[in-house]
Parts: sequence; structure tokens; C-alpha cells
Amino acid sequence: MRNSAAEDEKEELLTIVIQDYGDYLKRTAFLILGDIGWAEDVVQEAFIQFYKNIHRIRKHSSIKTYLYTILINQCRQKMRKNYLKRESVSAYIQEEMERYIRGQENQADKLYLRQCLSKLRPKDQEVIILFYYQDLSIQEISAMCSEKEGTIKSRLKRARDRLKKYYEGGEL
Amino acid sequence: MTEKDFDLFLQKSLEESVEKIYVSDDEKEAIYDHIQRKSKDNWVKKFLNYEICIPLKPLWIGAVVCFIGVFYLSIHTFQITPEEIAQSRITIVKLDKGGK
Repeated sequence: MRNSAAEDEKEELLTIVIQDYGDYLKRTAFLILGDIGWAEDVVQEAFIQFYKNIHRIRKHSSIKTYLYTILINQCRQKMRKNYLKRESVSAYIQEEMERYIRGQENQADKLYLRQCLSKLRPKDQEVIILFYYQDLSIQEISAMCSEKEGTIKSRLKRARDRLKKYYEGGEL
Repeated sequence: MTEKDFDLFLQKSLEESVEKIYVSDDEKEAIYDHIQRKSKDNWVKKFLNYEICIPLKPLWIGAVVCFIGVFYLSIHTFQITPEEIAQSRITIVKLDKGGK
């Protein structure tokens, strides 16, 4: 069956978005969730949601902000659904992390930093990852999390201080 | 470690720890498959909207009006009034008696 021009345009946009943001989204999801399988699920769902609600992009400042908003919501949903499983899979998460980090330079530091990061509250982890990994501004993060800029600023400072304290203290 | 150094270390560590993660072709295929499957599920809407360009709302309203119309006609066309029944009985009685 022939697709309409609008549908073709949507698919074309989706292809571009997957190409440009796919890897970054998956990496962010992996950093937040700590599980590659969950990250894959969440990224797939995020792109499907994006495709379905493509007409809402105009309300958002950019495609990037919109995509990350969907991703953050999907990650939160995934964590909520698997709340009970989280404790039991924490060992598995560490193994997964080790598998990815192994073979790289300064792997012990990275692994330890990752362990420290996982001790933070999920919302604090999100802010750290979005700010430091994705290099997003406070304004963009506040738009994604639907919270005031001041709240994000103070959350980021608290999370960073706590992470530094965990890392330098050497005790988790 | 100063705050600035820690920030740089944090940034670098996060980047390096996930740099080998990519969206595979299989995952991309899965996304497209999912979208296509969803589209096929909704083939009536797709066909009406994109192939012959009839909006769904007027179509459903039209279908309901047609249904009510047919129902109304079926009631009113074949309904026999009491007068007609009485008239037919009189005729039968007359015929039985040999009258005209």
C-alpha cells in the first residue's frame, strides 16, 4: 500500500533522528539504568513515542530536548516497573558495567566512579548524566524534567558534592 | 582533587565508559518493524485517510445515518395499520358470503 507524503516525511525524520541521536540516547539510557537490555528497550520505546507524537515537536524548543524528555520519562517508567527487581539485579548491573569498562585505561577508577554514581538517588544520577555526559544546560535539563532551574541547580550541586565525597572518601 | 579537576574527570569517565555502545542495525530494524506493524493494525484508518481521502468522522456519521434510515424505513414501509386489517377482514367476509 502506498504511504502518504506525510507518512514518508515522518519516516524520513525518524531515520535522521535515529542516525543522529540513537547512539547518544542508548548510552544515556545505559548510564541511567545500568542495564544494556533495559537501555535497548527504553530507546526503542522512545523512538516509537517520538514517531507517534511527532506533531508535538513544535511545542518544544528542539528535537533534542523533546527526545531526551521522552527518554527520561521512559527510564523512570522502566525503573518504577522494575523497582522490586532492582535490588536483585544490582550485582548483574555491576557485572555488565565491568564487562563494558574492562579493557579500557584507568578502568578501576571508572568502575569505582560508576559504583559511587549508582549510590546516588535516581533523580540525582539523571542530572549528573545529563549535565556531564550530555553537556546539556541547566535550562534544557529543567525543561526535560519539568522542574524549575533553581531546583535543578541545587540538585546538581548536591549530587556532585555527594558523588565527590563518595569518590574521595573511598567508602560506599 | 579540585572541583574543576573532578568535573573533568567525571565528564571523561562517563564518556569513555560508554563509548563502545551503539544502536545496532537489528535494533533499528526492530523500531521500523514495530512502526510498520502498528500501521498495519490500523489499516482501515490508513486506507481511508491516505488512499481515498475520506475523513473517518464524516464516514462514521454517514454510516450511522444510513443505518437509522434503513431501520426507520423497514418499520414504516411494512407496517400494517389496524384500519387495513379491518378492511381486509371485511373483504374476506364478503368473499366468503359470495358478495362482491
